[in-house]
Amino acid sequence: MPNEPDSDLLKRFVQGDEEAFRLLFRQFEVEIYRWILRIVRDPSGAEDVVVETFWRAYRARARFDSSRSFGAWMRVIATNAARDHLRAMRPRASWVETTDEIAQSVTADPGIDESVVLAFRKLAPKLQVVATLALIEELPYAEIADALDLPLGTVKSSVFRAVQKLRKELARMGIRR
Amino acid sequence: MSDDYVKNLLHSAFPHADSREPSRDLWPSVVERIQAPPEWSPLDVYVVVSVVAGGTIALVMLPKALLLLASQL
Repeated sequence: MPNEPDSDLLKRFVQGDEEAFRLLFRQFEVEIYRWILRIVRDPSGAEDVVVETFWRAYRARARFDSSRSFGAWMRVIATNAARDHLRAMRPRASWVETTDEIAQSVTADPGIDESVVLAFRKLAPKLQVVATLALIEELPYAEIADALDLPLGTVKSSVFRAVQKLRKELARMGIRR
Repeated sequence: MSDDYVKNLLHSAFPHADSREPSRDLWPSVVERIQAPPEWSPLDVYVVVSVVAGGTIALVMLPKALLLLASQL
């Protein structure tokens, strides 16, 4: 995440100063985009979620506690917006196609990759977020707990549940080892 | 199926997504979103419909009670 903005800029943001908000947007947009992309794994969808994230931040600016990190606050909002995006996308059959932009196959059998993506997208959005950050991006559990505003133990148990469910779903699809 | 095998399958299906940047300037979309009139959520619609329907039913069923209430205002 970029350096913390100065307190005057944050104060102006909380008061609704649009120029202060624009400066904060410019400072954080790329990092927030990359964070969201890690979760939703769809470049175009991630752009929509960035817009949603900054809109939510602007709407909630009065509740921002300036004694806390702006970057961490934004990350929590971005994670929630990304999770809502996954929830909205979940029933759509086109999920596999949208993830193809990033998910260029590296296994010998692209059919297995496709099955893994399908199985993964069947997980509840909350589990998808935790599992993406822990198993795919391999972030430390403490960092995930901060980003999701969850206790460490909840993150660990969510990862465990995600792996159990994935294993079961993959076996059902005939992927065993 | 071991945890490591599951992890390997995930890494293959979802390669890392680092160092990308948005393909367009998103600031105009953020401004547009902020300036858009607030949308009605399904809950808002439900509350408004319930209040209007409840008021109408009360008016039909208990006209005298409503007159009594109105006189207290």
